Parts: sequence; structure tokens; C-alpha cells
Amino acid sequence: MPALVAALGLAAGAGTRPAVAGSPDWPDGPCTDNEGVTVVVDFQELGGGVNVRCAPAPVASGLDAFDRAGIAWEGTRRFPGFVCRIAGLPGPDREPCGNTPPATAYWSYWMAPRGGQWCYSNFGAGNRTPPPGTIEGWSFALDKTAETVPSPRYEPPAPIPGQPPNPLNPADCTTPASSVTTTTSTTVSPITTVAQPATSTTTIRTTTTVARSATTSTTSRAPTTTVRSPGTVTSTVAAVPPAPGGEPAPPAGWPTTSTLAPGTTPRPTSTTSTSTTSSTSTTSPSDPDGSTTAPATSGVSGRDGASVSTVEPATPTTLTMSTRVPAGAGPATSSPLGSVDLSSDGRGSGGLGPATLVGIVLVVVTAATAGYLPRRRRAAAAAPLNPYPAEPPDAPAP
Amino acid sequence: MPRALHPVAWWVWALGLAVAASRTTNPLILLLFVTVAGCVVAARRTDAPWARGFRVYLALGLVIIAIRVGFRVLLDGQHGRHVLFTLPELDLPDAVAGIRIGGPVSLEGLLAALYDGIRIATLLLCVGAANVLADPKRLLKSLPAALYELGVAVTIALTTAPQIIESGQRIHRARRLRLAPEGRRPRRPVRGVLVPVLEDALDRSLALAAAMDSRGYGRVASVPRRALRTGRALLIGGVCAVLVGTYGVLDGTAPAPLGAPALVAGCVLGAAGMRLAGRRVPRTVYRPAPWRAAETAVAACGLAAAVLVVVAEHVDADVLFPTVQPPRWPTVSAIVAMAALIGLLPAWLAPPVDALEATPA
Repeated sequence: MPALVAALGLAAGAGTRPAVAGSPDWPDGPCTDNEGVTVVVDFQELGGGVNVRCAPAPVASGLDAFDRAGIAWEGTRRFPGFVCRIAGLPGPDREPCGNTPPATAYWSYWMAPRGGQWCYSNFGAGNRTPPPGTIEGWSFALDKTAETVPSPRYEPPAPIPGQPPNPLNPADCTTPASSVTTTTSTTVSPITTVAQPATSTTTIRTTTTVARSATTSTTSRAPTTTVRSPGTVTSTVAAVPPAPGGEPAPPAGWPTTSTLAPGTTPRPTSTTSTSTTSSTSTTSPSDPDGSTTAPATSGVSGRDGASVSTVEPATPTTLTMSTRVPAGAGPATSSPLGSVDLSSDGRGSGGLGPATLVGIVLVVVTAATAGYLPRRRRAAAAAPLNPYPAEPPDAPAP
Repeated sequence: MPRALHPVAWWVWALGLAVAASRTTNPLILLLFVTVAGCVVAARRTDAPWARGFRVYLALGLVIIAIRVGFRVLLDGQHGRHVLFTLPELDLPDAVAGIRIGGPVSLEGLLAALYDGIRIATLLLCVGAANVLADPKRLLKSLPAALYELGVAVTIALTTAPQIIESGQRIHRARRLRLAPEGRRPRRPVRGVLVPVLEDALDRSLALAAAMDSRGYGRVASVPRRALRTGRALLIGGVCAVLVGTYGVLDGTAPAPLGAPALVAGCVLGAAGMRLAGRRVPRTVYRPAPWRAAETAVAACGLAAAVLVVVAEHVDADVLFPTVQPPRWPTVSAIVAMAALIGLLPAWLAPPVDALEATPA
């Protein structure tokens, strides 16, 4: 037991180290070399946008990528390799992380090669070694089905000029992630809507040809999405505010909105995130939510409306693949969209404090009482009335 | 005045503690609940045969923790920054991807397993405390008539563990009286220990069967077949409604009428069916166990502990579910400490049992 306590204290001291916010050890943005593994975390309805960091090589597993990128994560108590919280979200009031999180609210695990498209992983993050230079994606799936799990709302960054992108291990993911075609975009149609048809069509008309192809695809897929979870539509908008300075509204798809608000306030998706994302904006004009919240911007500037980019659709990735690769190389992918401090899990320093000492004292006192009571009872029962001397029960018979 | 508390009160108290313990993974809080249960047992247990087994439950709890941690060390799940040591890893084919045997063992994985093991052990000890404190035979008396036969079966099943514990203790004592070598394992454990225990169990069950037969167990009063059938239908309908209602309450997406209304309707149906079915077993109770203020107080203590921990889940869930990644010191909050101390009150609230020990069991 003392050894354990010592180890715990040691570890607690070591564990506080990565909590330094904005440490130069872990700059935001994707990897600049072809060796490290880029980790993309999309908080979706949890609020906080999309955050990107680079795990420098060598990366042993998907979980190791977290550690090397300085991202605070937590597994479930029962299965520590099952990612339950990233950067402290969802908070313990919402997800105790004792058992596997429910299928209605969990972190989905994605992967992509550079310049490729997202692919849902066949493996747990701890059982897979990401090839160097590839992208790891984490996207919170709230009230989604297997078909509607959103991939991270972030383009896998373009290949580094002069270096061919490393392919994924074909066993890791079922969908071939190498092909960049507009036909595959049908699988990831964004939230499109029957509710606001007028706006969505105008927006799409202003965009590129790729986006127009999305109109055809969304008509086939969209109704299911919208009808099944209308709450998700609103929450996507809410999680990432459309206008600079906008406070994130409580996500509608989340059962208890009031308790989530405190969690989001310390990490607001503030104006900085909006400004940094302007270059990636071409990804999202096809999103009707963006157009409804800021129709003027998207309508006028078909090129890159900053407000539209923040309100990226749930899964715009494949739509924009062909437009992004030539245009988005360089600064476009290097700016993260969110502003969550990935290094901190928001649960304090965790050192040995008075609350712990009080608990230890309480346990010791009650344990001592429990040990003392039977002795006193035995003495009281044996002493005055009993004419026979108290005999230890385990004395061997003569 | 010394008397034995109503067994239902002890069970409510113990199950309240168990509910509270099941809502947390904080080892400090769990250990607090264990020591609280131990205190109450130490203060208020009788010397009846079933009341001597708390140490055995403690040992069983330790075994559970050891198994939990041992499997965690051997099998997959050691993801963490603080690797303590590395076991040789087994190479497994791709078909069983996701399973890992051996490999690095991290502090995070160990702590997670330890917390989980302590939680299961605490649950076991809470039930064990109820088993130690409550008289199973008096518990059977207070069951509704319709459940009498079922209750007998459940009581016999529940008393199996305490009986085996007692058998073991008796045989251990007998071996020592025969001057068997102290502290050494028996040379022939099957013949020396296992056979006597089994024989004891067989003797006991034969005696029990004879006693039950002589008291008219299984005999039923003549009730009109129609009433019986109605009662049975009501019971089955009630159970089905309760099932659907429970599902509706737990699943947030279920339609509203399937929730609480179905649950209430099921309870009403079940109660009516039970009353009808109870007519078959006309029995009177000899010296019914009284339910007085002390019983209410003890049961309320257990319920209060459970409610307080459920409240704490909404107020500071962080305390109840301490993170192990990175490992941090678990803390105790005022609400949880209060829950544990309220759970301790029965050590004084329940009537003392010291004078009962003088009377033969």
C-alpha cells in the first residue's frame, strides 16, 4: 500500500505537467513533416469546435498519439483503452466513464491519409499503430446511428509538397480511403433540409461544381438525416457560433442543456476561431445551416465567407476534396478551428489536498472503531457477570 | 431494551448503502462505506450462526479485487503514460485483434482495475452486512402470503453461504480439537474438510425437508379455480407491465405512456394478483416481528445515504468519479461524507443485542 501511495503521488505530480495551456511543446495545427501523426478532435455538440494537434514520431498507437500530442484523454474505468473523455469532455456530470459510453454519445474514431478522406476505424485506438504522416480523427457522436456518425469537420490536410502521402493500412478501415471522388460524397451528405429549402438552394448555387454535385446527393440522403434527428441540426449551429463573439447556445440535441453550459463557457468558441478559419471556408457553403444563420455572407461571398466556415456541415469533407487539394495546401489546413485547451481535462491539479486527507482520516477512524467495538463488547460480556475466566475461542482442548 | 431489529430494516439499510456504493468509483468513498458497514456489524451483530461471517465476506472482497487487478495486468487495457513494468507479450493472430495478452502495465490501468474491484467488493460487503445482521428466518415471516413458497426457496438459497461458513468453522474447530497440526494445510483436504462440509450440508437439507414437511409446507387451501386463474393472470399481466414500464422509464426515447404509467399500472395489477394468489396459503404468524421507530430510523439511514449520493452525482460528479488519466488523488466532498456518517448511525440507533447473546440461539 505505501508503494502504491508513493506511486500515486509521483504520478499525480507528473500528470500535472501537460496541463500547461498553450505550451510550446504542443503547437496547434497539423504536422509539418511526413512522420508525425496529426490528431483532429471535433467536439461537435459538446462545444469547442475542431482542434488539431501533431503527435511527433514515433507514434505507437492511437492512444499514444494523444499522449505524444499532449492531449488529455481518459478511458473508461472498466476498459481503460476505450476513449471516454477528450480534454475533459463530456464532463463527469454527463458521462461517469465507468462503463463503455452509450452508443448515443461516444467518441468515434476516424483515420485518413494526407489529402484523403476520413474513414471509420475498424480497430480500437489502442490496438492500431497509425502509419507515420497519417491523420487521426475523433468526432463526438451524439444520438447518431452507424450511418450518420459524423466524421471530423476538418479536411485531412493536403500532402506535403514533394512527399507522397503515406497510405493507411488497408485492414484498419473498410472504406478505401485513397480514392478522392465526388461520387463517394453521397455517403457523407451534410445536414440538408426540408425545413429550409430556399436558403439551401441559393447557397449551393453560389458554390463550385463539387458543391452542386452535392445537391443531387443530398436530396437522396438528406431526408433520413433530418427527420431522424432534427435536434442535431440545431445543435451543430449552436456548438460553433456563426458570428464573431457569438456565445454558444445550448445544444438542442443534448438532453440537459443547462448543465452543459458551464462546461462550454470556459472554453468558448470565440472570435479567434472564426477568424482563423476563413481560408477553409470553401468547404462549407453547401451547408444549409451556415446559410440560414448567415445567409448574407455566404450569398455574397461565394469564395470564402468567414461565418460560413465556422458553421461547417457535419461531414463536408469529401465534398470539398477536389477543391481543397489545390487551394488548401499550406496555410489553409494549418489553422485549427476550435479553441479548446486540449492539454487540460479541466479537473484541477489533483494534488494531495485537504479533501483527500479528510477522507483518509474518516476511513481510518471508522475502521478503528469497527475494530475496537467487538473487543469492547467481548470484554463487557466477559467481565462482571461471567464467573468463568474469558477463554480464547481458539485454545486447543486439553 | 435489547431486541433483534426487524430484518427488513437491515436489508433496506444495507441495500441503501449498496446503491450509494454502486454510484461511485472513488476508492476513498467506497472504503468509507465498507468501514461504516463494518462498524455497524461490529456494534450490532448477534452471535447467531449466520452472524459470524463478515470476515469471510471481507476475504471474498479481497479475492474479487485481486482477480480484477490480476486479469487487468494480464489482459489488454494498460494504456497510460505511467508504465510501471512490462510483461512479455503474446503474439496473437489478426483474427483476434483487440485482445492483448501481456505487454506494458501502466499505473492508470492498475488504478482503474483497483477502483472497479473495490466497488464490486463494497457491493458484496453491503449485502454481506445485511446477511450478517438480519435473521433470515424472521425475514421469511414478513413476506406476503403469495410469495411464501417462493420466499422459502429464496431464504434457503440465501442462507447457503452463511451455513457453509458455519460448517467450515465447525469443522475447523473439530480438527483442532483432534489436535490437527496448527496452521498447516490439511494433508488430505478433500477427506478432511470437503467431505464433512458436504455431509453437513446434506444432513441439514434432510432435516430442513423433514421440518418443512411436518409443518405442512406445500399444502394449499382450496380456492375456486376461477379466482386462481384470475389471480395468476393479474400477476403475469402486472409483471409484464412492470417490465415494459421499467424499460420505458430507463429508455428516454420510448413513448411517454410506456414509462411511469405502465410501471404504476403494473404494480397495482401485481398487488391485486398477489392478494388473490395469497388466498391459497392461509397462515398465521407466530410472534410477528414488530416494526417500531428504530426500524424506521435504520431503514431511513440507508435510504438517506443512497439519496445523498444520488444528489452528489448531480452536484459534484467529479468527486464520485475521480479520473485515473492522469492519476489523481481521490477526494471526499461534504455530501458524500455526510452520506457515510448517516449510514453509520444504525450502530447507535438499532437496539443493542448484548443481552440476547446470553439466551441460547
